[in-house]
Amino acid sequence: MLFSVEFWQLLVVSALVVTGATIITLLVLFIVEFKRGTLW
Amino acid sequence: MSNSYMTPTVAWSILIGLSLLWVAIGIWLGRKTKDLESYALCGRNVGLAFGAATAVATWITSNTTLLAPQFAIQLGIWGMIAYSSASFGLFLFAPLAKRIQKLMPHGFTSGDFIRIRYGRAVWVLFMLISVFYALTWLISMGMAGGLLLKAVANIPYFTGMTIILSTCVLYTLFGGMKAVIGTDFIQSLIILIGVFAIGLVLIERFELESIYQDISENKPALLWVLLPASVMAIFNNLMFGIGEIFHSNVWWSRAFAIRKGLGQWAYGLAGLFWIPVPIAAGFIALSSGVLGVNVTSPDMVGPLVSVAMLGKAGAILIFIIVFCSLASSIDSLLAATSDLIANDIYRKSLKPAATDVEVRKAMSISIVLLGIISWTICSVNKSNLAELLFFAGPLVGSTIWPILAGLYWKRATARGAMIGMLSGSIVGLLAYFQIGWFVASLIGTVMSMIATVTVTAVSKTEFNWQRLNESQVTGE
Amino acid sequence: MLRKSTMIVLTILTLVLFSKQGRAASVTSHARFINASPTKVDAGYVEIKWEADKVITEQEDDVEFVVEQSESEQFLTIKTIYNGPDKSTFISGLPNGEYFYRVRLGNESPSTWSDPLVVRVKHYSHRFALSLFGLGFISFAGIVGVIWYGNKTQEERGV
Repeated sequence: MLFSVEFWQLLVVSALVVTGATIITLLVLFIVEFKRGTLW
Repeated sequence: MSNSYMTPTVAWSILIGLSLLWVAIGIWLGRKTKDLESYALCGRNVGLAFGAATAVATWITSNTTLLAPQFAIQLGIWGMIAYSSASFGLFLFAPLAKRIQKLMPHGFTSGDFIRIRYGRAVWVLFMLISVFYALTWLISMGMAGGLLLKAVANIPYFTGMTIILSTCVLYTLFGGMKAVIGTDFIQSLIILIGVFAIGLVLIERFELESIYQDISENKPALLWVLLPASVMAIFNNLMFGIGEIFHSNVWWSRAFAIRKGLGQWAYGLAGLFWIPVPIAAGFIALSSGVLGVNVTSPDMVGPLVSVAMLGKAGAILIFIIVFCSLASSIDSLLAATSDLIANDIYRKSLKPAATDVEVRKAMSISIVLLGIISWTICSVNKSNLAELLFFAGPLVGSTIWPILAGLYWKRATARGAMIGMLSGSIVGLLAYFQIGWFVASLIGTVMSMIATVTVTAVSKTEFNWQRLNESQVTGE
Repeated sequence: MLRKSTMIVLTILTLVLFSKQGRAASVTSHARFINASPTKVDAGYVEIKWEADKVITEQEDDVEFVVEQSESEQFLTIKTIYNGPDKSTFISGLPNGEYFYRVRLGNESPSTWSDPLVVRVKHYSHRFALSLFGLGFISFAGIVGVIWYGNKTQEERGV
């Protein structure tokens, strides 16, 4: 039984999408907490 | 493999430039960390952004960025997915972080918990395992740094390794936990952006389908759903990862440092952020065929492919990514382990009357000492040394159930914890030598589980959770 | 006096004999594998390494190699898996079976093929793998269960 080519494509694309979203989320969180003074 | 991916000028500029940057940040942040709680625990007020980022950055080690491609080329799609499952350790620690913050609002270390919950004997065993694991992790990171700088930037092993270790020692020394967490945030962004960029370039240049075609023609087993080597190792590696996170003060100290109530969110987010990283970093290895790159040895497949795709820029990117992933882990290890030594051994055992100032000094000394010990062993540069880390698998696996039982079961006893850790470690190590690395952590964990559960089941004593809270205030 | 046809046949035979002799008297390969043969692997991957004679590497700067793989001992169907100056290559994703490798020098003075390197791939049994998977799953489920249940009771009881 093989992983299908569709699965492979989905896997890689989702990984990259989530990584991109992570970068944005971290930056947004930073800005929000910085403004509120709750960074640390 | 060519050693001229970048000119010496470029290589040294990056190395020195980044090192100076981290040290400068360390000094700058250190100006605001005079008291012990700031130095060791960032004032117990770290927010979500920094909290999540530090967990992600610390769990992304050079293992993630270099080993993920290696796993991909060795074990294919399953290899990458299996690696991603290490994020479960972070996910599962989220509820633990919540419980820890609730039970021990004044806690300092994982050792504190073990000592109060189970007594001194268990604490000694726990400390031995903790320090052994921390040292082997430090050493493997130091060696990886030296080897990578040699391979990608042609900087001599000894020099590269020394610079990386001393940079991390310096900025951790000056800035404490604040420097660690602050630099972790920056490092996590650099790592994620770098991995994202390389992955993006690859899929723009090659159809994912053509990579798949190439693999199915030339390396078909990499597409198997039931690749035995992966199937049998996945939970073993998961136990190793869970054991690492559950016991290590690296993660406990963050639970204490993050603002109360945010612990589980920080770790939950971190788990989510971490899942795609082994896949995003690893999948590029599978394009070696379509790129026409000869993989001379599997641990270099990541850099080889990046350079094939992006040339000099690829080499520089890999250099920076791996440097950041090394630094973000080494600094956490230094801070958390020195914390353990200064708090548990120095203050709670050797000199109970020690003032905060003295404890902070003890931390500083420990950081330097840990650095020197690691550096000395790394200087020997025997490749087998890095394999010492694998011995830690059954050892840390054996701590999972004692910690869980200690946190959630009133009736868990010191005897259960002791037998659990001892039997798990011994049987696990036996399994390592008799059967193989791929079962050691699993067997260690299962053995420990049986012991801990059995002893708890017949136990009649009940632990008073309050002791975990009050003790800190009374300085037990 | 021999007939013309006989002369031709004799000439051909002589040529064949001489050329066979020529081959028998040729030198052995200047390239060889470093791996022990046979090599047994259990996960379908192997790193194969080779080298050229010291004499060659001392004389020439850019020694090139050609490495071929076959699933038959006689190298009936071959695949060139490497052609270049590196001295190793990592092969992975091999299904169960026996694989034969041979290496020779490239460049202008190609030598004869080396002794073959035999790699035997035998993946772990599915039964073994799945039982470990099962054991691991139980262990993992236990951990998740304790945490989940512990959190639930904590919320109910407040401790």
